[in-house]
Amino acid sequence: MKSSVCIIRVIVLALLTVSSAVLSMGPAEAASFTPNRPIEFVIFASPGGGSSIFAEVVGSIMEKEKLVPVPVPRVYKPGGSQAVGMAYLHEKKGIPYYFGSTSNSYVTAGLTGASKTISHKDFTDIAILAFDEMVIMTRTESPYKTFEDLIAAAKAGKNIKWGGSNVGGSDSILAAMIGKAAGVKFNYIAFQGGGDVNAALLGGHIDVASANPTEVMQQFEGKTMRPLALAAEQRVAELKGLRTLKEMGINVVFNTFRGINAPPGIPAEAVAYYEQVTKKVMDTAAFKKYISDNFMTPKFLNSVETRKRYDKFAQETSIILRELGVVKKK
Amino acid sequence: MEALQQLMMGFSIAITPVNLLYCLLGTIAGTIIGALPGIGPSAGISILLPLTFGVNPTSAMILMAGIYCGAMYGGTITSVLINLPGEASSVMTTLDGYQMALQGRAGTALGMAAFGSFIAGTVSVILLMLVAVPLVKVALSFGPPEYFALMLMGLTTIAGLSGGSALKAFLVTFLGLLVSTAGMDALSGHPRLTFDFPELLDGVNFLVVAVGLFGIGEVLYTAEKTMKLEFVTTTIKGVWPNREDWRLSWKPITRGTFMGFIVGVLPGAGGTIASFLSYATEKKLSRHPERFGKGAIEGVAGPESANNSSTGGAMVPLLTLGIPGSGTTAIMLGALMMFGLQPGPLLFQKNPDFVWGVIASMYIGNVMLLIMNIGCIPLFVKILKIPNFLLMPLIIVFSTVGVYAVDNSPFDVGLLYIFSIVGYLMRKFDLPPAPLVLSVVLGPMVERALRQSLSMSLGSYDIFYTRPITVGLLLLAFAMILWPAVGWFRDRRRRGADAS
Repeated sequence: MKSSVCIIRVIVLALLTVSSAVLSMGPAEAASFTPNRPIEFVIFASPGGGSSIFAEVVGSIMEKEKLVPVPVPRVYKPGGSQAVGMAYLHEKKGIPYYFGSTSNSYVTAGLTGASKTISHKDFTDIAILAFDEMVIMTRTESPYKTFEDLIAAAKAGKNIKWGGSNVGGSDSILAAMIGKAAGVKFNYIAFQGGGDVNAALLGGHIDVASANPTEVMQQFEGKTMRPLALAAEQRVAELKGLRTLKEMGINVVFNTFRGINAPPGIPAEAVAYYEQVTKKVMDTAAFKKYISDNFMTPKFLNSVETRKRYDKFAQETSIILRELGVVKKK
Repeated sequence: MEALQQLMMGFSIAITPVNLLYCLLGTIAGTIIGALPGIGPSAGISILLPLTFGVNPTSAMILMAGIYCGAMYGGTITSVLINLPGEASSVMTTLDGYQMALQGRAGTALGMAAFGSFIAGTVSVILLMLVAVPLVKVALSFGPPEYFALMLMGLTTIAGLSGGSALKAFLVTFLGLLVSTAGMDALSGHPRLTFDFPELLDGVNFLVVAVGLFGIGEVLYTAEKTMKLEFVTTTIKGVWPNREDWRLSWKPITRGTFMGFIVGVLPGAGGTIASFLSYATEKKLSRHPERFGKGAIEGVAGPESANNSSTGGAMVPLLTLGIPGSGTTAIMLGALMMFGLQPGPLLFQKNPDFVWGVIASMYIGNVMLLIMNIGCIPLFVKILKIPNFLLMPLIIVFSTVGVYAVDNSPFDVGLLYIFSIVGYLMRKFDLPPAPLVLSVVLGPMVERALRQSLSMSLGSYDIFYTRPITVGLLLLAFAMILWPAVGWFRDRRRRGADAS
């Protein structure tokens, strides 16, 4: 009995000491920031997808290469087209020990009805590290040998079935942007995920679809699918012969960014510190392997540039989303 | 013979100590995951996936295949013993398995399920090796109209499943369809019935519904009846299935195996639908359909074989084309990419050691699972000896933890309790819970397939009678609806003949 009281006393005392130490560190920290407790890397989706792979790679690099002196556990908060995870991160106001893994749907969640109250403007931005391109393809047996064939058929009034993920997601935005730029209308059919889209494409139930190169590279090599166009600024090395939409006179560039954000209102020193860490991550061999394995384009945007990029993306897509009928009603 | 040679190479990879260990770990973890209410194989793999980051792809995939197969065995245990389906594809097992347990035949039910699972699991891996490539071509010819017809066929059989009043079953089915419409409408991007909860945008997870209705709902109902904390008094008769059990079960196991494999290969259908179609088929073919729902061993053997066989089937499109054949393989696909492997049609050629290592380990995994399950049945059955006043709170605790673990979502826990109360009320008013769970699973699929079909055809219904597979499946669906009427007429005529 006596000993248990004693133990409790020791614990309370220890807690007091630690907390007072943390409190007293407050002003001293102002000059520079070093994390002293684990950083939770929140993924707004389920394991296995693009933003989960990104977070697992970046988080493990930070740990293994000792770029931060603390562990970086990955935490999955899927649901609500990112809205559930975003709400979770938003609650951690001012605490510089949380990261979020951002992608296009993080920005579009704030534009559509998915995230009712919060948008990308309500977070602290750290950086964008890379871009994932998008490729447009058809199955090998398809009569459409080139992208121009497809556009010509659509212009002639043929029912061109474009399959992709839910309306409001990247595939539907890309299809709508191309349709607008080329002056045609595609018959967009929403499927549950990339796997279902690919199955429907291979089965000939839809005519055309889009994907990140890594998802379909083997389909091209195995000659089950044929790439038609690239929605990138420039051609990618692994698909040398594949022209971009711009080269075909269709002024559409669309890609997926991979970035890190943090809760609102974290100290500027923490942002500066994490920007530096992110840069170091990008210099590691492991990160370079991730980029080349997935046919991505590495590009560092700092906190300020990242916000500009999000804003530009939001502005461009909100017009399309409004036309698709999914924009949040003000 | 080339396949045999490659399989031997596969075995040489699978029996390295490290891979054997991963296979064992996977099957044990899978059994636990399957048995825990709420966490099914897909959620289980999701949760464990981040831990495998950095392990070599073959070992990690062996682990995942072990979890997948193990979960199918594990789901049976709680379904039979405490009427709580550990994962969606064992919902059908509760119908007769739990009844068998109440009659003191829990051991026999578990034993038959384990043998059926082993036979089906092994045959499906053999089929995976032999017919993977030609079969996947057929599977691809299934587009939205074919899926619509298949799911519709599933929906029409629901009413016949529960045995009781067809009217009640339909009522519950429609309630389930209503629940299934909640969430983001993928075809327009608008939220429906979400009441401004972002958690509802992805719809209601059927596992939450299943665990609420079957698990906690049943606990609440039993607690009300037996407030004096009775001990379970049924004596446990023979653990091994006897000759009579085998005589009744071998046909359901054979049919379940092939049905499960074929349904598993179809991208967009999976173990749940396989087990469900198997149960419906066995009941239709049985000379004594009235025994179903009252402890018929065929009702355990068929669906259990079907859901295990679907695992091999679901691997077919994954390994040959890089396309998932079920929810679980969709997560495996993501995992492959996480390990830097590009899934696609070249996997067999480019990574033969990976593919054959995984196939070989599925054989080994099934053997491990059979030994483990048969060996542990006497232990599992002891659960029935736990007094109710301990077992009931335990079920509630495990259900809550399991449901929370799927998405780390407190919201789902709240939803679970709501469905628990619904389940309790349904038991009280004698409404069957299975049709609700199944219509929550099938509802979104039927709706999506119908609307995809209609947008493919620009609104024309021609698409449903100009495609041969669709027409065949739709005719089958109508036959399912008309079947009871045929039986009724036959009965009447026979009775008429007797009277005269």
